Amino acid sequence: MEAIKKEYWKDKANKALGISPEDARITKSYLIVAFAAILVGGLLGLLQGMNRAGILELPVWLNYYKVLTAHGLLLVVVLSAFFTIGYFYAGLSHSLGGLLPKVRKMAWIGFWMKIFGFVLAVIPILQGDASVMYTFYPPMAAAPMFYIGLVFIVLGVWMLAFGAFINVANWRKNHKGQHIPISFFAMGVFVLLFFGSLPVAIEVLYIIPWAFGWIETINVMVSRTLFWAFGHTLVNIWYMTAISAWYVFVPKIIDGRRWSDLLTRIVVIALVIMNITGGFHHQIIDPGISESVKYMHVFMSLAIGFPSLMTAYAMFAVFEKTARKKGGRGLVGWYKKLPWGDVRFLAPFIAMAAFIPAGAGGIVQSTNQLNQVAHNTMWVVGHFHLTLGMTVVMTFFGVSYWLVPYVSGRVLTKEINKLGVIQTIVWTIGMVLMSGAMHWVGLLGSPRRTSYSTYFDNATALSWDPYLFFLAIGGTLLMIGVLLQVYAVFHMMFLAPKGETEFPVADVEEDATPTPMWTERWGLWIVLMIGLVSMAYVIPLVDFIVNAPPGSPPFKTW
Amino acid sequence: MAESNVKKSEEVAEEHSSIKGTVFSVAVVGGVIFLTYLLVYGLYMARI
Repeated sequence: MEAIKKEYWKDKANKALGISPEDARITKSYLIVAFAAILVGGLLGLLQGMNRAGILELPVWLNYYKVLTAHGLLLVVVLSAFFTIGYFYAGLSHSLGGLLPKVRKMAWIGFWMKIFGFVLAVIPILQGDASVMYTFYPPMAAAPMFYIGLVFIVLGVWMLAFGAFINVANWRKNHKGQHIPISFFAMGVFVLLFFGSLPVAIEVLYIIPWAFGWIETINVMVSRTLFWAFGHTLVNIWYMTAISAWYVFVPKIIDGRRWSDLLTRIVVIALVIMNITGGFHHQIIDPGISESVKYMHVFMSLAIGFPSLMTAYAMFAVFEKTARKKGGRGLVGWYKKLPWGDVRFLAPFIAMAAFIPAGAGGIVQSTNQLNQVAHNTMWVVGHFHLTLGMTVVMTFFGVSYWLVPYVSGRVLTKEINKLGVIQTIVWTIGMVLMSGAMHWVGLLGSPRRTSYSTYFDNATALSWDPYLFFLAIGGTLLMIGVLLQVYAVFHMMFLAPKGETEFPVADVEEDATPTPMWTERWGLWIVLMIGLVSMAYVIPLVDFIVNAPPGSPPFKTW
Repeated sequence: MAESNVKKSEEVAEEHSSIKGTVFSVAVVGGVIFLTYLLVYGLYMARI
């Protein structure tokens, strides 16, 4: 009874007084690293885009592949993971009445493990011993220190995942019969972070002895498969983080309500169960995989489209309902009633809109035959810049305009809001130009993961040049966008006037039906996920191991 | 007069609960998926 009372007052105090300074420090540290990563990673992206367009020749000590590897690692691993964790830990703190002291300790241990791992991985990249890109496919081999760094990053992520599980389990013990509040999304993300990173942990532990030369060869197909079981899950973890903001916070920002708690939870559950199996479509034209397995995987990949379509419906429904309450009329006229001048809405809205072509491209390239048109071309680079660089990162930017002031005990000023709107427009134009050019030049055959080449003045290769020029213009605008965004974050964290900022959780509809308790059965969702993963991966992995071709020694191709 | 007021308030209530904008927007999403598919399928067929 005493414990329940204590929890009740802790909940009340947390909601009234805002986040505790200890919890705020955790989120602030994660956000600082995330935005430092986008500053450096963005600059490297600009260099890379200029080089790819044939405008800038990089010096030998900073070649294209080194820049590409660092750009990928900084933005794909550091920015996304640090933002996701900082954001969800603030959410856990807000909705669960603060973080437990031991969870805080775990968050810090995880933070430093990730930083340590990242430093270990970056040293060989800078030395030119690990230009293996973000996917680090064998038989390309980096210096062993690179892989040891990755081990520490994964261990850090696990520390954070278990910290979240402990905090949620403790809350559930003290709130029997109640629904996990907004932290439902956090549970989904951390479950996926843990289970999704298991395959890559196995892969890295298998690569390390090979990179040291203790074993001579490696099974390339097994390592590729283990990588993509993780790689695509990571993509969907960012996506799930972004949609958590769409479902929970955006409705509050536009003075609306959440559309359906049950639908939201079904989307989270579906994404958790079906996510890991989606990775295999990255190998859809790999050799040594039977057609029947490939078709099963095409279906499994396309299945992820269903929760995305449910999300599209839910979001439009929230917008329309809210806009009509404000007097919006007509088939599309109600859109005018949405708060377009508020960056906290504008940025996530454009992020959602970008997901329409991004999702469409994803569906197309996951299809067995159509993948052959786009595979390993610049189309794929355009696709993931549209999904990650627009849908996810612009949502993160939108979130930063309330999350950073919330954890800093400051407020969003009109000037910074205006700057944010300008930043959103600059970023949108930049990404449309860059990603559009990448998609189109990819369809014309321009390959990805290669520095600029005219292939001995080949006519087809020369025809790509005008599009690559648009890529460079887009990249330049994006760099301006990075500078504006980093300034805005710096201002909101250290310079903005002190004050109280709300953690904007939207309420459900007044006439909403109660959410059934079966949605809370995380054990069942995890069992179903493991079942589906086994169905997807046991047959091909056994096949790759039993009928293994001769393994490959390490290669340094750069 | 009273009848027209009732009619007007019915129209407003209908407008408030309308989901035609949502259905239209979701149809746009479907259209983009279909057109993208058609474009790449056309290229695929042209190249085989």
